[in-house]
Amino acid sequence: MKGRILLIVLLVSIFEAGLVGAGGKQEKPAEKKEPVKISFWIPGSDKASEDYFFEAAKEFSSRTPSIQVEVTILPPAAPDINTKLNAAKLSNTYPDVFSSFIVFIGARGIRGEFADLSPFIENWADKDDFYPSSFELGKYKGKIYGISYFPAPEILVYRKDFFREAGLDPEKPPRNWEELEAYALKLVKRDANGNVIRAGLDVPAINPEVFIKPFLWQNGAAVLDEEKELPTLDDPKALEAFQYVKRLIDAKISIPYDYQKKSDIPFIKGNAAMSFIMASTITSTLKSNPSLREIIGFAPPIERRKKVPFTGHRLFTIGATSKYKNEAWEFIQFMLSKEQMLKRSRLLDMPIVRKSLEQEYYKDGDAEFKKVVVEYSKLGKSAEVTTVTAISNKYLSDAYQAVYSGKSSPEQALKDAQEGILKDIKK
Amino acid sequence: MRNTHPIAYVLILPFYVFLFFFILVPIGMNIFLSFTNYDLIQWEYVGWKNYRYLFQDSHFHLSLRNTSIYAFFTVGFSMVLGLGAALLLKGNPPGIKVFRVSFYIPYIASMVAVSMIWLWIYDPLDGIANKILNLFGVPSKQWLYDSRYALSCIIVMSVWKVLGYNMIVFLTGLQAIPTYLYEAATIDGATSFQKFLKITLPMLQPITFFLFVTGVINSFKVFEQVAILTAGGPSNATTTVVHQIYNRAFNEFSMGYAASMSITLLLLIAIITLVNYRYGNQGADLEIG
Amino acid sequence: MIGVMISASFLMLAPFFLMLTTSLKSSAELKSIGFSIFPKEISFANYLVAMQRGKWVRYFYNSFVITTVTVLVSLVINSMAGYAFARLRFRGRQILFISSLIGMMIPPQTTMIPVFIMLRHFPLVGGNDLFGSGGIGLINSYTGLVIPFIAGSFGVFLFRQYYLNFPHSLDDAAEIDGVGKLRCFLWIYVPLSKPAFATLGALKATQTWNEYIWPLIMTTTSDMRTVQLALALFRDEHEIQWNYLMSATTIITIPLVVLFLFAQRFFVEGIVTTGIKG
Repeated sequence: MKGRILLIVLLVSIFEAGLVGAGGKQEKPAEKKEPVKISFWIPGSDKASEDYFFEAAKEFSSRTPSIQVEVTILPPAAPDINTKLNAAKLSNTYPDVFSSFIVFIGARGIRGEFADLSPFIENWADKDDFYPSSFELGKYKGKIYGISYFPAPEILVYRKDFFREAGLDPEKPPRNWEELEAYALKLVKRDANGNVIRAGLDVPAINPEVFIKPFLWQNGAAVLDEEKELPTLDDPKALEAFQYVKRLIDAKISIPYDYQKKSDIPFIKGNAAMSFIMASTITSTLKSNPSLREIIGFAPPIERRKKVPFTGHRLFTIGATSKYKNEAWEFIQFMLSKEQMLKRSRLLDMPIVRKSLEQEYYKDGDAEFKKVVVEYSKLGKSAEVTTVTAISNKYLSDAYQAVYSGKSSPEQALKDAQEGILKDIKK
Repeated sequence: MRNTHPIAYVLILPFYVFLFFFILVPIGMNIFLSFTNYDLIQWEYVGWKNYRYLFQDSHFHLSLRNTSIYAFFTVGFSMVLGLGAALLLKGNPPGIKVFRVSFYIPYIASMVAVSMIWLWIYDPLDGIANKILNLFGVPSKQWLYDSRYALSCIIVMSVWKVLGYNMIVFLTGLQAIPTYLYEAATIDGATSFQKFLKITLPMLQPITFFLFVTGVINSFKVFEQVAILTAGGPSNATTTVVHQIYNRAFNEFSMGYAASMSITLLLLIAIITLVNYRYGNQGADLEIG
Repeated sequence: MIGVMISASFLMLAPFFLMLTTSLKSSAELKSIGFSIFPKEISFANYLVAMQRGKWVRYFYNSFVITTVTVLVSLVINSMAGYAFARLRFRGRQILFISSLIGMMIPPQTTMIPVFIMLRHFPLVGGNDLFGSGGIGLINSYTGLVIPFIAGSFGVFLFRQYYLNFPHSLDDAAEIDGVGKLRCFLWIYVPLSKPAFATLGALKATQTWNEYIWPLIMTTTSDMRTVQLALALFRDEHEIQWNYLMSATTIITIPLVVLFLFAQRFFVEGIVTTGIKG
């Protein structure tokens, strides 16, 4: 008897499962007379920015009733975003508009996932108002796959109070490699056993690509020849940069951390005197802890042969398979309008990329920080837009970590990386 | 075959339908992809090229090594400790439930949450692991950031996490041992250790076999902890096969190559399982066949 | 003995102690420099604040539906198959059983994308036509979230191993009474399987409740989020709100703890012997 009751209960639940499943169905795609529905995917950042994007989409739809925008917030981590986009691509559910990181332009956009925006831009009256880099960054072989709306440079920040403690002038941050190293050595603090309890300069142990690349660039080297899509780590200038970084590692001036775990950066936790940190991470830290503002200083871009900091970007892109490219472009135009850009700068502290907004932009808020962000952004270089960036990053990271752990000399590590990339891209 | 029971096909049919669509068909797709250079855009038949590159791919070799070490220690420790915990907690004295729950909670909590807590424990500056070491006068270690310790750190966390699962399954197995066996042994004057060796262990064999096979299989699929704690580093000391599959497929878009890794991993696990199945002592199974 | 138990459970629970104390710290304390185990002042309000962010009732409902359906359906089909593999003779049993184990061996990261494509092209649902095109299929539906997990080779294996331990006298008795195999399963094996049902139920519920990647790719609207996905609300790009994250994590772990407390009485219930006597 008991068995039968159990069975009935189970059968009912199966039936219910079917019903619930059917209830979860989506309505049919929009018919002709109804407004066009476009999907907009954006990696999440924080509550304020999510609220803004939902609000902006609503505002756009109310002004342009023929286009409805459906916003989907993605997780902030790149692997999760990649997973989501892969699934979307293979199932033909790719978003119409996607707010892309610069790495995705190379990894995905130029491989046919994003539409070429140059026909739209050509006929766009506003195009001359933008900094040229807005269109340059997403360019590959003459086509423009994305428009940058949000530069996010990695800024060298330092603690003025720790500078004073170490007898350094808090108004004179390091300007070049030599000073960076010398200051870091002075600023480090160790306990009786020699363990670092306060880093002189944050030197990451894991996910170091964004940290190491600027040193190569500042010395006139590069990871890749972007035209030929081949590695260039056999350059003596690359070796010189690696040897410099090895000196920083061997000096034992840092607490190991993962560069991509933004909340775990020793500087953010108050355990480091200098660090390279993404501008938006600084903004968010200062927002939640305003008292830090007085003791944090911003150094100008570090110089060797050149001044080249790392600058990440967010770009608006249109899915190559989108059925509503014109509508998508209309939405992007709205998002790039002066009004929305100013709103983002006020609400979310995003930098502006239109010349005509400069005066307005500096008028209120933290002018010193804003100027630094713009200076870094103008000099900054981004992730390489090539189809082999992901692979070359892997070997670059291996080389760095081999040097970090003392397993290889810089010569050997770079040689391995160069050969590894060459072999891997041919596989 | 004499005396067959055709009703069996009806009983396994629903399970097999799902298995077919959600496991066997995707595997078929992967076998096909593993002979192509599919990269999400186009594909071309490349023969055994992907499989040949597996022999040259040092990342893959490292990941195999790490995964085997991980599997060996995780399965070993979690089974021995799990059986110990089950023996300790099998009775029904008052208050024992609390202890059982305490062992099981790590298994309940999601890996994401648990990994974050262990990140604090292993923090090189003010983590608890170092504080404990310092208490005994041992200098601080860099744990997850030191390629000598990183894999061990992940193994310790994983044993802690699956221990409760092993305990539960062992408990279920212990309950299935007929009590009259113990009663008879007691009459014969057997010590408790003799009873453990002569009754408990042999009677637990189907369950032990089950835990061993599933433990090995799950260890070979380890991914989440690695992705959250170390991203495979430092110096690839913690990269695992599935971590490599994931990177190749989802960061580098070498779908064809990743598929060849998946199929190799599947074959490897299948061989280990079959060897267990054939030579492992799994109880009273095959004589009824 | 008691000493061993207490110290062992202390070790097991210590990390969760950290989770609880963190969930009670104020945001200001977390931002101040330096880490302490105990909160300086206890703020239970964190739990309220965490639950007011987003639509948690909805997330719990989603997770609850998905978990319940997955567990119930898989218990039925797994016990049936497990019984067949353990106790019935049929052509191809060996090969069918071994091939069913493949379901456990393949990493989910490998099958994920092919399954996703299949569900997207599932005919006649989600705006799809008979040939599976036109709409979005089972994407963003409960069915799509449940269906890949109900096969469960693991459960079949568990039931088979469990039934192998049953005395053959059970079957002999049934045969003498002239009871067919199906009835023997339903009337004799199922009622005696409470520990196995409870074990698999608890394990399966845990897995389903904690699943992250599949709901991530399968859902497109925030209304379909599960509790695990919703935890992302407290992990910003630049900052993790530890106190809220840990509060929410504690809350979403509670249903599983309750389930376990309920199920554990079956784990330790003597079965086969009582079955023979009765």
